[in-house]
Amino acid sequence: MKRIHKSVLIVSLAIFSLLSILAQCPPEDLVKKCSGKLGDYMFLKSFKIEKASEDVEYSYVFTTNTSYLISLGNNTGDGNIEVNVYDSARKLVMSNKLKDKVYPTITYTCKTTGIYYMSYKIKDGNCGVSVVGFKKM
Amino acid sequence: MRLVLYSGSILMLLLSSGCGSSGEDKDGFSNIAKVDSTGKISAATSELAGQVIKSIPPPVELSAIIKNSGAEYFSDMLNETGNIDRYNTNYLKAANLGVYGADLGYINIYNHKEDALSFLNIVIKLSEELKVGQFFEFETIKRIADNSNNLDSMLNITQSNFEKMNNYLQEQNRSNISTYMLTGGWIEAMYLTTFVAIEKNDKALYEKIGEQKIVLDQIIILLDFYKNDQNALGLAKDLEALRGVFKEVKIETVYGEPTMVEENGMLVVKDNSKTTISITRETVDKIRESVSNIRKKITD
Amino acid sequence: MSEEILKALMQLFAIIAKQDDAVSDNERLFVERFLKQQLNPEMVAEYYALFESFISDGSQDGGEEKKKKLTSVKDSVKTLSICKKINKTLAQKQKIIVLIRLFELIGEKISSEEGNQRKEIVHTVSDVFNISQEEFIDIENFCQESDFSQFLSFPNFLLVGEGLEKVPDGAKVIENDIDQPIALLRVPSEDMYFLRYSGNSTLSLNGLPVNKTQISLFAYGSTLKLSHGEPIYYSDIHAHFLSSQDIPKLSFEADKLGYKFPNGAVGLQNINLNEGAGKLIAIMGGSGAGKTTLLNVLAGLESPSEGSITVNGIDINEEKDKIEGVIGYVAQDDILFEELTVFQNLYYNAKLCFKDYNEEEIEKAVVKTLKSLGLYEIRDIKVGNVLNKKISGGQRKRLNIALELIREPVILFLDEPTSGLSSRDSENVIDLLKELTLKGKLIFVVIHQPSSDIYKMFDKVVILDVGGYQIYYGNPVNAVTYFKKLSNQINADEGQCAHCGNVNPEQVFNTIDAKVVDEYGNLTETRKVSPKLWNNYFSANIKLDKNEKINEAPPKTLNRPSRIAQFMVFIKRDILSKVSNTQYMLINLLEAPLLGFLLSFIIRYVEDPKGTYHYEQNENIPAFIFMAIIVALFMGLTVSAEEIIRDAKILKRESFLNLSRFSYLSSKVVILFILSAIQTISFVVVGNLILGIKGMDVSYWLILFSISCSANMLGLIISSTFNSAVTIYILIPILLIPQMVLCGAIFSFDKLNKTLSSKDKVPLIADMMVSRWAFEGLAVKQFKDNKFEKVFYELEKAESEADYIDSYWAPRMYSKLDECGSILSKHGNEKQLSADLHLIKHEIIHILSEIPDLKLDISCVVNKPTAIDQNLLSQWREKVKAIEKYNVNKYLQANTQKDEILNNYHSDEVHQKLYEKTKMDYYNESLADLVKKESAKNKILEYDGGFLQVMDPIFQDPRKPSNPLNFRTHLYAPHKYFLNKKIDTFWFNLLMIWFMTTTLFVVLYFNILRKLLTFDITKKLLKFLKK
Repeated sequence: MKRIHKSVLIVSLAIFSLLSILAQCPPEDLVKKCSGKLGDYMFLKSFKIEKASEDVEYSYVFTTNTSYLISLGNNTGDGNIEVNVYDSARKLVMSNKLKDKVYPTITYTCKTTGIYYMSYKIKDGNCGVSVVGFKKM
Repeated sequence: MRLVLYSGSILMLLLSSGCGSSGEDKDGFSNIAKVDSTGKISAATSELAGQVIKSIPPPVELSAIIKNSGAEYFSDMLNETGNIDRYNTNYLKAANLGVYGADLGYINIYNHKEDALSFLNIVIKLSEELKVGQFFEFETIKRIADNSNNLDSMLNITQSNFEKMNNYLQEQNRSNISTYMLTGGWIEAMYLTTFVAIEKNDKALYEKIGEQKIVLDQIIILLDFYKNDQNALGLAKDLEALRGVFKEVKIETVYGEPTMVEENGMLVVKDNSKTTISITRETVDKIRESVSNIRKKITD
Repeated sequence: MSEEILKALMQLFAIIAKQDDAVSDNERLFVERFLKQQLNPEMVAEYYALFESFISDGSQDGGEEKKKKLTSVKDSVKTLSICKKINKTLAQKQKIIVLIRLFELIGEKISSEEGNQRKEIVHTVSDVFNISQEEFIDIENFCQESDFSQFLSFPNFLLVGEGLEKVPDGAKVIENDIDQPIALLRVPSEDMYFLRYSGNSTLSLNGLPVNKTQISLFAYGSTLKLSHGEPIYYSDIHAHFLSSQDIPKLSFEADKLGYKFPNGAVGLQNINLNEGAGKLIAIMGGSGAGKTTLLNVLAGLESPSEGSITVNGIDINEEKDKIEGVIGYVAQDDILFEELTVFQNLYYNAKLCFKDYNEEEIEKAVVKTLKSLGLYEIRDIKVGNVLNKKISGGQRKRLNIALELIREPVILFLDEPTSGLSSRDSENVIDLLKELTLKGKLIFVVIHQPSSDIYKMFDKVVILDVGGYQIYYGNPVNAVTYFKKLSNQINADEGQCAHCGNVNPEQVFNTIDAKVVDEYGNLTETRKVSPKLWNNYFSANIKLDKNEKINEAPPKTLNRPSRIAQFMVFIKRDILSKVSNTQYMLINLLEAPLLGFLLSFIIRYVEDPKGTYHYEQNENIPAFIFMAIIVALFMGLTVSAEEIIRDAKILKRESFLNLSRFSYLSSKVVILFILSAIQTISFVVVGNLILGIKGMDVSYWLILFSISCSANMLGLIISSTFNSAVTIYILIPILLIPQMVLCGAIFSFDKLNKTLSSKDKVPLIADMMVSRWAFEGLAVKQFKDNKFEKVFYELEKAESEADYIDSYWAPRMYSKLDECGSILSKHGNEKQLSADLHLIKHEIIHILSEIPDLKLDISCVVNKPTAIDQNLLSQWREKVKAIEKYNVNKYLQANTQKDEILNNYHSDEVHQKLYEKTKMDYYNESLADLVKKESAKNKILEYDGGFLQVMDPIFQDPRKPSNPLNFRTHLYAPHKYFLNKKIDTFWFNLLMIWFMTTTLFVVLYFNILRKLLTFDITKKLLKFLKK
């Protein structure tokens, strides 16, 4: 698992080294806007999403009996970002696309502790953010 | 006349002896300072580490669980604010910034304003010393103060600032600081949680603790990036030992297909898998001891 | 007569007397009378018995021829042995007296064989006494010859008598109408005179009647009073025996002398004098007549407003250098060194006059002068001051005279040398002066109410009247007659009391000053004759003698040693004077360590009441530095404040002698510096020990010593500028308070009065304070170079520099750029825009010039832009970013290195402990806060078209100035730029302090302050007012 994990990271590295040249993304207010959507969920992390040929991937440890909220936003304002979440075995756990509709917000009640991989693809615009919050169940 | 000359020469001797002792470095103080580093961390390491850092949950999660257990507020457990004077290497500063940060989270849960203020000050001070003080500037503090009655809001603000801090550190190729911070924070959270868990004999807490096995793995991976650093190396060694204890924890997962429903414009996904975490009180106790020792090395 | 001589005489008398076997009654009578003259009745009996016992010693045998011869041999042997014993105990002078007494004894018998035997014995005695044959013969003749006229042919004899017209050449006579001549013998080897008289007139020698049968010793300073005529003084006698070769050629002329005081009042009017060598002149007059003024003008101390004074044709005011060393002056004031002994005072004075004498010669001269003034016995007593007298007032006066007398200047001026002396002492002094005139000196004396005897000793007297009028110039005795005549008094021809030989000088002044009597017979205030009138009479009646004009240079008796030699004398004298004053030494030496102890003990602050003292936590350390500086300044100032004023009178004299002011000042400076050095060493050692300041002793001492020296200079300046000690002490706070205020320790330089303060540099007025340099130097050194910080300083500096750019400069630049952007888009204030642009441009260029490593193309900034638009702004923004990025890296680099070092120290217990201990002992938190300006609210400031770094002054090197001489920069800068070189602040500041000290020395030497205060300002004011 470690090896896979590492190889994934190396791939991400390649992507990121390209992307690191571009700065100032996402802008501050975008993060704020997304954080505002958390409601009673507590802020955990924010992930920067930039336009790229490949999907942008982040990993996070989700824990059991916790409800998580993922809020998405991009600079064109319509939240058109696709995200697919895989578990540690690389099985798809969830996606924000349901019946051709892309939802800017998804909640996930987690019952399985482990590393999850979130793969983002930005559809419109070139800069976006994903904010993750949690709430005890 | 002679008296004057004699006393004059005695005084000159005294002077020269005072001068002499500074000229020689008898105890080799300055020799110890000789280092050959150029002081650069490779950008690559920083990038990779940054990734892993992102994946580690902040201590705020653990703190929330503690409150639900019904435990009382124990301020004695927290790291003393006076200790800050002893932290003069970056490692100690960063690790303890994490520790104090976790303490702050703990305090905020119990809404202890007085302690919150003093710990906030400490956090600010250490941040300044690490050159990330701008994330706790006047604006931020004001916002926190304004929201002092709204706990969640406060936590949010604090947390988002820490995140910005970590982003910044990564940009500066200083993700080692982030690493130490996170590690310190996690250790402290573990320390508090294990203590409360044993106190309350709370099964839910035991399980939460057991879950941290996964986080620990991430942390160790993270520390591996900095194996050139003495401090990271030492820490990693200790954490390996802890991992040994964690081997007693069994996590079993039974997969279940998740369900996705739309609700109020939001997509609600339900996880139908089941995880079973087997952990005994003894194990938790061992974990507690191990964590306590590691913590001691950081805070003292 | 001393006991020794008496005993010897008894023995010898006995031997001689019994030569013819029987001591005659005459002899016995002689001895008895002789003894009665010298001693009281008991002693007479005692010695007479002794005499008898000596006689009976020999005359046990019978009186036969054979035995006579035997006795004579025995006696000769005895005589020899007695004489040898006498040789050991008596001085030569005493031996001569013995010889004379023996002759007196013999003189009773002039006959035959016994006489010859006696003569032989006496001759033997004379031989054993080492008296030369010539003198023996002289003495023999003197004692035995009854016809005094025989003496005229002998060189060593002098006769006082009358009708001695037919005198052979070279004979010495004094005319007097005495009945029988008085004979005087001179014994040249011991310079003694003996007197013999057998007439009936009453003579008195020193107040005692002269015995006709005896030969009297005419001692030094004796006065022989005759029934008629002038008294005969020792100097008169002595004068006759002096050769004329000793007399120098001298002419002294005062021509139409006039003097005006600075306030315009007339001091002297039309004074005329003309004198040659070998005269004693008195200057007399009522109070306010101008005596001292005249003396000062004649001596050359003041320049006359009219007329001239010439010595041998040389004008003493126009050609001062030619007259150097010719004139001597003894003031009325005391110019002695209180702490030195009589001998030492004269000794050091002599060293300054006689360049070529070796030690022995100087001592000899000193001893001779002391003896001649009767000061030899008290030579080792400290002089003391007027309030705390160790020697009497008369002795003080004589010592003052001795200072000048020792070099026997050819022309000598004395101001009231006899005031306060007894009449005996006064006579001695004047006699001494008279003796000098006999050697050819010209002496002027201001004298007030002299006794008759003294009055008559003067050759001439100059009398002044109120307003500086000359009303008499001539023979003193004749003055009485002159004035009486002029005022038509009776008995005008009687100049003196016929019977007593006294002249009353009071008469003269009474006549001059006589007041008008009104109709009721009361005395009014108006004078009968005004000064002007007396002056007219004088001009009409008295003509000046014509003296021969002499053109050769007058002899100099002053041989000034070189400047270095003078310097050595001044130093030795001053050190001796100071060291002899125990109270002074104790206070000055103990003051410093005591203050050091007090100060450091009180501020030895311990944070934890139960814990031990840690240097690190003592919050008072910066204040200690400040106080140490103030203490050093105080001590330096007070030690030197009175130095010059104490010596004021002495200095006046020494400038009169043309002694080097430079040497004098240098000697003072050296001594004060030594004292300052000792004081500051003891202060530093004590203070630093108690407060635990380590490794800084030498630095502290260097700075404190330097400012103490500076204060010494300042003290010397005010000491030489002002006239009273009180003024000086009032000035001390005025000098010290600005030093305290502008030191930089109490009041921050950027928070002073607008006209004075400056945000980017230390204000100019503070740069002139020596305390500011000292404080900064010490603070910087103590922080930067201590054992602990040395290791970290460079890295911390790099961190600070980078941090300033990143955390403060860059954000401000960005906000300025934003401002510009918004003005552009809103078409706002053009002026503001251009000012902002100017600032941004200036800052970018400047910051880049400080980072030579970063090669950035800033042509878009430097060159004049084609258009001012958002594009330009974004270009500029990029440059700022680049600078920011560079500094981020710089910070990280430095930080990582520092972190590594720290990790090294934390790697094990031992190192950790070492680190903690070193920090505790060498690093002070309060000092660090001070030099890093931790308390400043603003880390960066917009000032004067640019940004100013306020934070961390200690880590901020100054900007390179355009002018290489401009070293001015902010406080606590670690280096200073000067002449395009980067110099460590500590050393630069130290040099600065010494530069200021040297400047002060120049001011001191040229006495600039005094000139400014007294002369120039008044003159300039007057000129200005006239316009």
